Amino acid sequence: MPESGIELALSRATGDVLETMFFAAVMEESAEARDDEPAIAVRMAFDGERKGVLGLRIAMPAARTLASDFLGIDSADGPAESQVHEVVRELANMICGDALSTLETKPLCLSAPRIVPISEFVLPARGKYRSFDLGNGRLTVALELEEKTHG
Amino acid sequence: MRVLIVDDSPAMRAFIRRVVEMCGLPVTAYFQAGDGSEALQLLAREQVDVILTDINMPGMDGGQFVDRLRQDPSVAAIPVVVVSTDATAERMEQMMSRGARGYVTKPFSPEVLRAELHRVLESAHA
Repeated sequence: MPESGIELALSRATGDVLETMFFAAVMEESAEARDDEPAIAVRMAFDGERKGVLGLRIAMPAARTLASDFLGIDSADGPAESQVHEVVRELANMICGDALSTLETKPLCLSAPRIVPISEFVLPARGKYRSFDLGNGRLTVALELEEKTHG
Repeated sequence: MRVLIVDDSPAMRAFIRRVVEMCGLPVTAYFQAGDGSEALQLLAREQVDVILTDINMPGMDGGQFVDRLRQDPSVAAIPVVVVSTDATAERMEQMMSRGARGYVTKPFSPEVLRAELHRVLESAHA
């Protein structure tokens, strides 16, 4: 079960986005994040009342399925790699916006999500994360918050 | 009806178009643009009946785009529905006060977008 408000927001936002925009269901959710599958990683920064970075890692087969469903592609070839990347960036963008909208009162300031080498996806020591089994691979979402400096 | 979709993500533009196609509206043409500036260029040569726009885009963002639309009498009356990940009340109020007629937050179900589009189009023709 999510323990903090941030984990709860991540959990709810990810479930909402997957169900509403990708017609996908979460098989199981946990705080364990396996990293033994070929995957795609995305990072996006945000600023506002909270400042930080959202990181997302998704197993390749799950990413391809989500991209096919989102774009309505049902050909045997499936989506092109660029289309998969585009959809995974949009997935990160929506989860970040949805989660932060429940935590913030001021308008959000989100940077453009970017695909990064998988080595750049590191579960942050100060971060909160949740991991979701999508049936054909895991999706892990982490929110790393920076200390705001005042003065 | 002619629809313009403004979003920097080609994937999101394709998704929105699919949802609009499911809305049962008599759409005769779809146009798309990657930001507000590209959308204004398109509007200089094409007539559209409704605009769906994101806010957070590189180049001219959704807020600046709505401001520019409202300043130009030739396009000021075109109803605009904002489709954004930002669900904060302050952002919604900000966009509506700048002249947007509707606001849908991502994630959205097809039913929500359909209802908002119908509401905005009906009020535009009332």
